[in-house]
This record gives sequence, structure tokens and C-alpha cells, in this order.
Amino acid sequence: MQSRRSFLKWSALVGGATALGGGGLLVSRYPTGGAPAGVPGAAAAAAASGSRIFRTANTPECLHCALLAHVEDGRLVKVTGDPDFNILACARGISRIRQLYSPHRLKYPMRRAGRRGEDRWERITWEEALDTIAERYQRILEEDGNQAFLAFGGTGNWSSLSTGVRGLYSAFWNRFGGNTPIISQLCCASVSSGFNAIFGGGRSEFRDEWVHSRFFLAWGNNPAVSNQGYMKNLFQAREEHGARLITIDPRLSETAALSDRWIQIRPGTDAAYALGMVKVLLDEGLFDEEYVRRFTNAPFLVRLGERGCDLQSESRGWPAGGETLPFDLRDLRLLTDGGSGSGSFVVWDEIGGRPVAPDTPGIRPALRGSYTIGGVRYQPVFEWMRANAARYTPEVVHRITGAPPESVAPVTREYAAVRPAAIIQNMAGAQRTDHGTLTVIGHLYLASLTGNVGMLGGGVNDNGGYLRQGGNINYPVPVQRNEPIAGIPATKLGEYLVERKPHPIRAIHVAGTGVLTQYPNTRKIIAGLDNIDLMVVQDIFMTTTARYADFVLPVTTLFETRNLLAGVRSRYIQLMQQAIEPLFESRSDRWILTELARRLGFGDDFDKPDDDLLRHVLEPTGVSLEQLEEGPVNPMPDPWVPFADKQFDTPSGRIEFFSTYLQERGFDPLLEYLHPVEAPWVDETRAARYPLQLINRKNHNHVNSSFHHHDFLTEIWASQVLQIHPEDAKSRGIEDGARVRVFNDRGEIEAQAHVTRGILRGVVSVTTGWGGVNEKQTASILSPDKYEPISLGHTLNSSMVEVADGDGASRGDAA
Amino acid sequence: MSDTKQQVAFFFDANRCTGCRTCEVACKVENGVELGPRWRKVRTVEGDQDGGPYMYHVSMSCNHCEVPVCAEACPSGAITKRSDGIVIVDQSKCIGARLCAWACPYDAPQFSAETGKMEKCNFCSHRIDAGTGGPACAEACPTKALQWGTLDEVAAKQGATAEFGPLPDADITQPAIRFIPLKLVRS
Amino acid sequence: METRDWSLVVFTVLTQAAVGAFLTLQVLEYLAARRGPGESGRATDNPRDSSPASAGAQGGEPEAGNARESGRAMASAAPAGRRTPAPLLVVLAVLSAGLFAALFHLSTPLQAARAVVNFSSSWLSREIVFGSLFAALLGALVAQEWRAASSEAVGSVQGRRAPTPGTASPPEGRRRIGPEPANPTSQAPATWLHRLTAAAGLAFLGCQTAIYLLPAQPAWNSFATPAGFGGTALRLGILGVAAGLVVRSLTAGVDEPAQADPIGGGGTSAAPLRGLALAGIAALALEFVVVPLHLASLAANPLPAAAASVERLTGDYGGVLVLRLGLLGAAAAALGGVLAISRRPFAPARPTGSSAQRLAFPLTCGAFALTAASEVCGRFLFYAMQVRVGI
Repeated sequence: MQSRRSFLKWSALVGGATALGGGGLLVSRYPTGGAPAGVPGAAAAAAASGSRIFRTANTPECLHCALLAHVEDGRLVKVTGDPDFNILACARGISRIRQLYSPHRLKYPMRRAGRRGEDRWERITWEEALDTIAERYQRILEEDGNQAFLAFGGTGNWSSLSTGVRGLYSAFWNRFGGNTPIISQLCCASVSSGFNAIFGGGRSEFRDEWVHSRFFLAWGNNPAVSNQGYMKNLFQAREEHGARLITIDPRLSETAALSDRWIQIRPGTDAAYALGMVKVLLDEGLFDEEYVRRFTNAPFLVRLGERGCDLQSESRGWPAGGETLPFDLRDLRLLTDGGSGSGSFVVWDEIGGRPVAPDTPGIRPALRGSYTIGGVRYQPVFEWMRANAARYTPEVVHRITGAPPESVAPVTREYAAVRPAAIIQNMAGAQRTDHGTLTVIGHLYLASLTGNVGMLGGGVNDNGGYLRQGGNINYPVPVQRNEPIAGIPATKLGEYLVERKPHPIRAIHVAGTGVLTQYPNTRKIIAGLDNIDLMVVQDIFMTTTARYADFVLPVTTLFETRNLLAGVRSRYIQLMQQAIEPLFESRSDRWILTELARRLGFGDDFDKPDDDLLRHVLEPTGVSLEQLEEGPVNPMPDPWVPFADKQFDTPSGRIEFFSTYLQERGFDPLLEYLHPVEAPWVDETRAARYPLQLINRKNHNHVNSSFHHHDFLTEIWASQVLQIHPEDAKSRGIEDGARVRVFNDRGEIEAQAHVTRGILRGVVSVTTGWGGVNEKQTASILSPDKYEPISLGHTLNSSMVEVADGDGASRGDAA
Repeated sequence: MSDTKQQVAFFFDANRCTGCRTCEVACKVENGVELGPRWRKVRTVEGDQDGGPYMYHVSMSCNHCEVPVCAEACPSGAITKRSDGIVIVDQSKCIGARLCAWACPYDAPQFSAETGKMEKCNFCSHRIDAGTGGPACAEACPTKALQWGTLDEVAAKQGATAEFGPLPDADITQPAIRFIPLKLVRS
Repeated sequence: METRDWSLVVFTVLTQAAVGAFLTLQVLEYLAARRGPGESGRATDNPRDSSPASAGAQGGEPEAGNARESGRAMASAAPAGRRTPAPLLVVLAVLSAGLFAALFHLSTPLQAARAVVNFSSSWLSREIVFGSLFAALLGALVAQEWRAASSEAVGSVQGRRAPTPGTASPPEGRRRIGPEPANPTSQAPATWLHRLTAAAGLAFLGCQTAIYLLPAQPAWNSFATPAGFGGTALRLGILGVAAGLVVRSLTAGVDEPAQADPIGGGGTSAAPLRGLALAGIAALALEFVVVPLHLASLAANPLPAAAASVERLTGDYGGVLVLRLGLLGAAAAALGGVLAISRRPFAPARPTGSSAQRLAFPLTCGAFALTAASEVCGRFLFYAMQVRVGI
């Protein structure tokens, strides 16, 4: 308490004595009034006399809400959400005042004084820190080249002069000459690969347009948490249009709890449920036939092998879904006319009774039937989709997913009955499983078959923002072309560091990301750090990751610097005005990078006024800095309809149910369900030791591992919580609220048990990313470091663990 | 609000609450409430119905009851009800007897370990009085699950009820809050 | 239960004991007085100065009703020897200690005076007003008694017959405070001051009870609260007086051998403790009725909070509940022992006491101690079982 007060006083002094550039808007939205005596704290202070309000934005990988910083005499007294923004800021954003004035902030540069990870430090000056780091970087560069460097930056701060996409941090490493890249990503890799496979890329986000939707299917996704600011639109659609909401989730998530219907399925079996739905759509003719003919490659002719086959008779002997087909789907071949491009594929014209190019005018491409061309038997892709989906009867779907067999048809019919219908997915859910890409493809199949793609308020909703919807910004400084360097798959970080693959890494630089709370098999990464000469972490707090550094550099919060947010989580471009002067000796990422660049010999482009860099960033957007001073700007069409022109960046220019992308990469070109690798009902040997399936959930108190230092949030959410079914808890003697150990061969974490029927029996759930404060609760310790084969993405929801009552000797301690 | 003499009230729609706690934090930030006391709390209710589990959230603070039993119980007269119905506590009169906390069915009175005094939601009376808006919690709610108005206004909303799930009998204090309970369709 | 609630355990148990003891003393005085002037001999002068010696002398009525018997016994309740303010002083001390403990429940004890401001609606304000009034009146009685005792001591030196003690005030004190009883033949033991004090005590107890009759607290908002608080007052009052009696009998002694045996004063079967023991057993038994009825009514209550309270009482704190009832049972058994020995005739007391007298001390004081311990357990349970309605 005492220390916090002195901080406040100190900051007031500094701030009050400094004229701020940029300028906040004068208070107009909140005229001042006579506050009654006795109103405690900040509110009284703000109300007592005029205060200035500065614009800023929440920068992590969240919703990028616009914030208003209320400043009084150089002291931040309050943070509120901007009521004029498209969504209202949540608890995380407005609790940032507690981040700013937290007594736990890093206050000055420090050098490691104990063993790595021991958390013993020696205070040093900025001069010494920067000189030493630059000098050692220079030496490593000379000895082992750029490949000896690994740079992590990102999700904690996605602003342009910091670690955002196309931000200054990326530019710094580019101008440094490059570094060993991380291949794929932990978050949305399987979403990207799914969209690439079927749509040829692009991502679709239409959260503002949910008000137009008539149906919502939240699939392996919990928008009530991960898109809570936009939920008002969903609620509006429900209230005004009677839109229904169905949720598919192993957990009674916040969204499932609010849903009209909740389908509980086993984690990682989503594609089987999707195929069951596809079967119903095709069997009952609930798909949009005209749309499918025109905009998809469903009519394209395909043969099996060289001569083709009689699909109708062949498919009668196919085994149930989930079991291997008697042939390889990869042996399917699209018929082409020998040329290339979208016109080279062939469809059967029902009118003319002959094979023609798909876009030939006046034809009616056949979806059904079998056609012999040149002695070879072809069937349209549609027939193959139908034959394959036919294996996913309600009973088969039930056997695989655990969902009630009688649920499939009604859910499908409801989904197909109204348009626009939205499937809400992504955000660390079903796509982060062993075959997550197939889950995403399942969603895209359903949306495409029903003609929802390209429709206002319909389709598959992803969490894209400006940059994900085709927008573009410049790097703040000019970038260069570097020699490519072999990379490290994101999930394999620990293994590659330990085994020095593909080459030894000597230096790691981390800015605004929780490497040791996010990257899987975290214990292995920590072991790999033994092979590192130098680790530099710049952050606001002494995070779990920072504790393992050699140098820790204190970074400013978003109120203490000028910045710009044009990211991947909101369509809006926002200026972040500096509200107060930096506290302590904290410095912005921008300042640190500039100082290092200067010392490393490429500082000229960095060493310019902030606004010069920002104007450069904004150049491709058509939005000016002056506009942004007035408030956030949405540079995109409004309303926004992804794929409105139905032009897809695939070889055929169409939605490709038969994915050339997948075929080229050696995967099944058609959607087929594959069992997860790490699941108790699959890997029975492993299940003997770790019989529970672990899934990770997101929670309202954090974004990845950000916000764990906000005490207004930890007051509400104090601990990692394990959700466990009453039967599983009972057999382990675990009571609600008990301390438990969750462990597997990768490590062990601590959690508090929440015994609830709101989770599938045999499945347990922890909050992902927890552990920014308490290393023992870090969920990533348990996460597998295998990857999804198509996307190389993270599979943290295909994981197995055992849970035990927390009393008694801890395995970790004993080991 | 044109007529400050009308009883002010909260409105809560369980079908719109995601449990994000923005209201809680907005309250603390607006009123400078330190760690410990929680003027507003979001509770999660779990249960089973027709063989299936359900869950919903309830955001509540002081309900500025029409029958403020806290004020009746307070021995030192520190709690009073304003003409607009806001129940306020004068901390200079509070002796920390905590009778209000026993009497209140809603766990609204909060005690600060630092001051030993009771504190609680004041409906952001400073904002009401200054005409700068309503309670910070309701204004911060990202989904409009929590709203405010006069009691007459919120009571007139469709489906609004005074009795709600596991909450105490509204007759005890006649709380100035109306609810729309979770619609458990599940069909 | 919060730690600070322990101050309320102490406060309520002590103040209820004080009210109970005062009322017990008054009842005994009243009963003694009802025996009439012929028996007391000096009633017109001081109706409450019935002499145990003379009472003992009337002991040839073994068939006499319990009330009379105990009345007589209590008349010497205070009984041994010289008049003294000691019993009331003890009551006052207990009351004061209780009131003092209550301060620790406040965050700002220095501002305790504010607690009376809301007399018009707050039962706590009323409790404090009546508690203070009770204490003040009790103080006045003690002062009176003190003066009476002093003047008596002087009188005694002057050769007057030593009046038997009691809680009575001397005539002059009585006259100062209030008028004579309207009907002297009733031999009413109480002065207006006594009556006022008793009324204040009862009002105090009533307000204290009413505080907890909160709709928000189903476990408290029950007949069990008045029954429990009243029961505590009865049990500790009766047994406290009884214990005081035997203690006094041990300490009184050497110079007043005749007064030293509370059990069989005068060597008859009319044991002064007998009535107290019987009343005590009845008061102890009360709790065995109240507890099951309370649990049953809570169990029948549809509110989850009530069920949660039952769970606490029978689950987490089931052991304490068993202990509480066990202690009460043991106390009742001890009182049974008192009854047993008080039935036996034995020789006139000697300073060191007969075997019965030797037993009387541990049995009576043991019963009191066991009950006191049980009351603390019971009051702990009272606060620990609290579960607010709602969520």
C-alpha cells in the first residue's frame, strides 16, 4: 500500500511538470460536477476539477478495445471504455490503471545475479544494459551469424511501435539481418491452413455483422469469453430476429450456458460431427444446390486412380467413419483439360451431355452421376463427398464424438433452415487439436454447402481484424530482404533448443510475450535455455519468462507512450496518445529498439520523431494521423461481407471441397475425420497412466498470459482452476475447491478443483496461459509439443493428464 | 434523469451476461475501491435441470432497497436512503458494528480492512448528482446485461421480474432491481 | 465464523448469564419473601432478610413444595452470614465484562457511543441502551447494598443482631429509591429499583434476541434464538447462583458456621440447593428440546441457506454440537448428584463440611462449569451456523 501511494505521488510530480505532446481531447463527454464530499478515491478527484482524457487502446491479442485515459495533474485517475467505439472495453482494459501503478512493475534495468531462473538480480543503468547487450549481440553475430538469434515478440502488445504485426520489433530484427524464424504459430495455424485449403486463403470476420445473422453455431469456441465485446450483436440478433444459438463444446462454456442447445462432444472429434452434418445436408437436400454448382468445385470431375471406379457400388462396402477406407483418398485425381488455371478443370454439362470447362456459359454442371470419358470413369466431387459422408451415420457420429445420435439431424436442419447462418470458431478451441485443420474444413464445408459464404452475416467467423481482412500497413521503418534461415516449428521449441536444431541458438530476445507460459512442453524449453548464452526480456513485469533472462528491461505501459494500433483483432485503426510520462526508469519498446539499433549500426531510420514513423505506417491505409486524433477509424467497408464477390484464391477460383492445396501437400483432398493421436480412447497405453483428456479454456481475466498482474482481476480470479466432472473427481477423492495436482510425463501443475457437471466425463480443463505470476500453475507445462500435420499448429487440446488431490507429496518435488 | 425523486434501480438480464466482471472492475476503478471490499459482485450459479447442467451469472451490488433493512439495523444511523432511493452510507458515522451486513440479504455492505468501516455501492451518486451519467458498472457493461433507470422504467421491461432464481425473497427488502432470468430452452 | 465474532460469544454469554443470575436472585428473594413475615420474622423491617437459620428451623416440612423449599433456600442464597453486596457485585462484574467484550466487535470501539443513535429502529441501539441501563441500575443496587452492608457491620459492632444477608438493600436505601411496595402483605421482595433493574435486564435480553431475528439469516430467524438466549440466561443464572451459594458456603464459614452449609442448613432434609438443582435440570433439558426442533425446522425450510446451516451444524461442526449437548448432559448428571445428596439427612454442618457438603461443591460448581463451557460451544455454533439467504 505504502509503496503504491508513493508511486502515485511520484508520478503526479513528474507528470505535472511535463507538457505532453500530442494532446488529449478536453473533457467534454464527462462534464465535471460537484462531487459530494466523501466520495472516495479517484472518482472524487476526477470530478472535483477538469480532467483531460487521452485516447488509447488495449493492445494484446484481444479485441483491441478503445480506452479513454482520464488524467488529473499528470496522474491517471481512471480508465474507461470509449463509448463511441464499436465495442465496449472489458475488465481487462479498464483494470489497466492497476497495471500502470502496480507496485510489482519492473522499475529499472537489471542483470541476472544468480542462476538462470533463480530470480536474483543486480540493478544496472540503461547505458550499461544497452551497451552490454549490443556488444554481445555484435559478437555473437560475428561468430555465428544471424541464425544464432531467436526473437519472440507479439501477443502482449500488438501496436506498431512495439511488437505488433508489421511492427517496429519485426522491423528491428529484419534490419538486424534476420534471425531464426519460428515456423507456424501457436494460435490460429489450423484456421489459416483450413482457409488456405478450401478458400485459398483469406480469413472471414463479421462480428459487427452478427446483428444480421439468423443462426449461430459456436463450434469449439467460446465467444462469450473470447469475443465478449461483440456478444451484444449476437444477443441483438437473438432478441430482434429470434436467431438461435447452438454450441458444440465439451464444456458448458459461458457461451454454451447461454445457448438454445448445447452439444457435448469429445475434444478433437469435431470433424466427425461435421461429416455427420454434411451427410444430413446432402441426404435431405438441405444444401444450396445452385450456389454449390456455381461457386464450388463440387461439380468438378474426379477419378480414383488411373481408370476410375464405380463409386456407387464401391462405396457400399466402405467401412464406418473413423475406420480406414479400402483405398487412399489421395489417389483421387481431378480431371483437367491439360491446361492450367481455373478453366482447366472439367465438369459434366447435364444439358449438353458432355464434359466442359466449369465456367462455360449456358451449361448445367452435374453434381451427381458417373461419367465415362475416354474409357475412364469419373464422378463429380460432390458424389465423392456424399459417399464419404455417408459413412458418418448418427450412430457412427455418436460412437466417435459421444454426442447423442439423435442430435445430428435436428442441429443440421436448424442450421440449414435459415440464412444467414454463422459458424463461430477459432480462438484456441477445437482447431488446436491433433487434426484441427480438419475441424476448420468441416466448418467451411457446412458454410459453403449452405451458401452462407459471401453473405452478409453468414459464413465462418474467425477473429480477423484489419490486417486479416485485406488491409495493409507499412513497417514503421523501411525493411530489407534477408537470406532465408531455417526455422524452428513453434511447438518444437524445447526440443530444438535442447538438441540444438536446426542449428545452435545463442541469443534469445523476448518482447511482450510469455514464451514460458505459452510454448508447449515448457519444462523442456527451460532445459533448452541451458544452451543459450544470452537471453534478454523486455516487459512490464517480472514474468515467468523474464525470470529466466540475463537482462530484464522495464517497459512502459500503453499510457506512457505514443503508439498506433492497426492490427489483426479489430477493423479499427487507433491512435494511442501518451497520457502520462513513463514511471520509474521504464522505457518504451520503441525507445529500447531505437537505442539498440543505434548501437548496432542501423539506428538512423529508427531515430526519427514518433509521428514520422506512424505516418509511414499509415500510408497504405488512407487514414491520417489527424483523423485518428479524433478517434478510431474503420477503413473497411461497412457492413463488411467477407468473400462477397465469391472470388477465391484457389487454382479453380472456387471454393474447393476437393482441395488441391491439401493434395499438393500429400493430405487427403476431401474432408475425412482422423482420430486424435493423444486421446485416452485412442492411446490406451498412455491412458493407463494419464486417463484424462486435458483441454485448455480461455477466461475473462486474461489474454494468453497477459493481465495476470492486474490485482483487480486476481482479486476475482485468484488461481488456476481445473474443471473436472463429479464422477472423475469422486473416483480420485477430489472435492470441489480442493487443491489438486495435474500432471503427465511433461510436468505437473497446481490448480484448484472445480467439480462440475459442466464438463464431459473423462475430460478436464485448465485455463490456458495461466502462470504469469505463479509458475506452478502454468498450463503450457502440460501441453504436448507434437504438431498438427497440415498446419504445424499447436495441439494443446489433444493432451492427456492425470489429476490427484494436492495434499501429499508432489511428484514434481519428489523428482 | 429528469425526476430525481423517483426510485432508481438496476436491471439485469441473465441471458446477456457472459460473466466478464467488467461491471465489478468498472465499479472499483470509478469509485477508487481498494482491494478487499467488492461493491459489486458477479456470482455464478450452477445447477441441474431436466438432467442437464446449467450455469448463469448474476451481477449484483447494493439493490438500494425500498425497505433498507441495513439502515434499520445500523445502530449509528450511518445508512440513509435519499429521496431518489439511493441508499448511502456516511462513513464518518459508521462504527463498524456490521449489523448491516447481517441484515442485508444481498451481501452488499462491504468492510474495508483498512478503515474498518462499511462501504458499499452508492449507485455512483456523484455521477447522478453531477448529471454525468449513471452507475459506472451499468455504463461499462459490454453486453448491456446490466442497465439502470428508474424502478418504474426497469420494471416495465418485458419479462422483468423481482424474484430471481436463488435470490432471497424480494419481500424482505423490496430491492430496486429487476431481472430477466435465464431462458433455459435446451430443445 | 469470523474471529471477531468471538467477542460476541463472550458478550452474549456473559451478559445473558448476568441477566439470568440477577433474575434468579430476584425470584428467590420473591419466593423467600412469600413465605411470609411469620417465617421471616423481620419482614416488616426488611422483608427480604429472611434468615437461613430461621428458614432452616422451619425445615420440618419435608413435603413442602419445591417452590417454597427453593425459595427458602435462595433466600439464603445469599445467604451465609452478613449481608454483602458480593452477589450483585459479581453479577455486575460479569455484565461489565460482557459489555466490554462487545466493544471488540466494533471496528471503532472509541465511537461506541454512536451506537445508540438509531434507537428508533435498530435493535442494537436498543440493546445497548437497555444493557447500559441494566448495568447502571445494577450498579445502583450494588452501591445500596454496599452501604447497607457497611451500616450493618457498624450495627453489628453495636450489638445488633446481624441481619441475614441477601441481595436486599437496607430500608433506607429502598426508601430513597422508590416507594414501599403498595401491598406490604405481599411481602414483595423487590423494590422499584429491583423491578426496574429486572425490567431493564429483560428488555436487554429481548433486544439482544431481536437483533438476530433477521429474515436474511434463516438459522437465526427462528424460535431457537429466543429459546437459546433465554435458555443460556436461565442455565447460567440458576447454576451461577447455585455455584455462588456453595462457594460462599465454603468461604463464609469460620465465623458463621451455622450459615456455611447450603445443603442441609439446620441438619434437615430441606436442602437449599435442591430447588436450584431442579430448576437447573429443567433449564438444561430445555436445550435438548430446542436443538432437535431447530434442526427439524431448518431442515423443513426450503431455503438453501437453511439447509446449509443444518449441514454446518451436523457436518463441519457436528462434533461441537455433540460436545455442547454432552456437556449439558454431564451438567444435568451433576445436578442429579446435588439432588441426591440434598435428600439425605445429615448432621449439622461444620465449617469443613459434611461429606455431602464436600460433594456439593464439586457437583454444583462442576455443573456450572460444564454448562458454561457448553454455552460457549453453543454460542460458537450460533455464529458458525450463520448462512445468509441468497447467493
